[in-house]
Amino acid sequence: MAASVVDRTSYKYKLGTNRLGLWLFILSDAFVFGGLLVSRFYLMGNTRPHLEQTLGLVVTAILLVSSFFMNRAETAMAHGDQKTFLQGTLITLVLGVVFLVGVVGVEWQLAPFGPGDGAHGAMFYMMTGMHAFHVLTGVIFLWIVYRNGRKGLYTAEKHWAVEACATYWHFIDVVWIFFYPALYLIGTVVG
Amino acid sequence: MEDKKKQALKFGVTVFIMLAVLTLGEYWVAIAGGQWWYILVGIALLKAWFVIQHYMHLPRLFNEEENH
Repeated sequence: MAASVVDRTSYKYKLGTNRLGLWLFILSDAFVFGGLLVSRFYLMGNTRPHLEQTLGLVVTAILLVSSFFMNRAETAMAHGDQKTFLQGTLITLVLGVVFLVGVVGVEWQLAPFGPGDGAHGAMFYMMTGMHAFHVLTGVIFLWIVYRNGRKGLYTAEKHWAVEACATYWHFIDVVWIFFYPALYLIGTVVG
Repeated sequence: MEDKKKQALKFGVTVFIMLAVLTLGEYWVAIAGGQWWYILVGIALLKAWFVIQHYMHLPRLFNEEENH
């Protein structure tokens, strides 16, 4: 009877465990955002805060475009295209910063209520704040990957950090996919 | 290799177009008839599925062949 031998030091083995670890982290993080979504519907029901609709659509579009460029960067790296990878990563990073400015710098200033103004204020600032914090960490991750990419640390064969960064960035996009309608679109406006 | 890359990049564009159309769709649904929350939830789930399946490559987690 032949027993299969697993080389626990091989890149292939490590890649498998790294992927599992990242997805478990994402799953646990998703519960935090899931809890916020449940709180939003429990506390606010079929109402929503008065927010700038155009700005909401614009920041959503910015995050969507950033996801496209992140995918483009990862695909390019997987095929050994260093130039497109660096361009895509940098564009994603810049769009992430623009998104942060749009939400924290503009929307928070325009909102006609504060975090202490009832359930609407508390939920809006908690949800957008928690999401913005993740965008900020994603931007830092992108900057690290971009710098390492410029040093030529990634190849088509070995680029786990790029894959991890892309997966995390897309997760941030998935969270906003649910937060955008929950905050901007569903329910009747109050306040 | 070059053909495979072009094909993969093209697929990324297709997914992006689908996501953009769905986003505009949900905005229109909300503006046109604010009470259709179930349609908005459906669109959000569809968009999330597109991103998780094609941008986050969830199947890679279960398929050892897709290694780099």
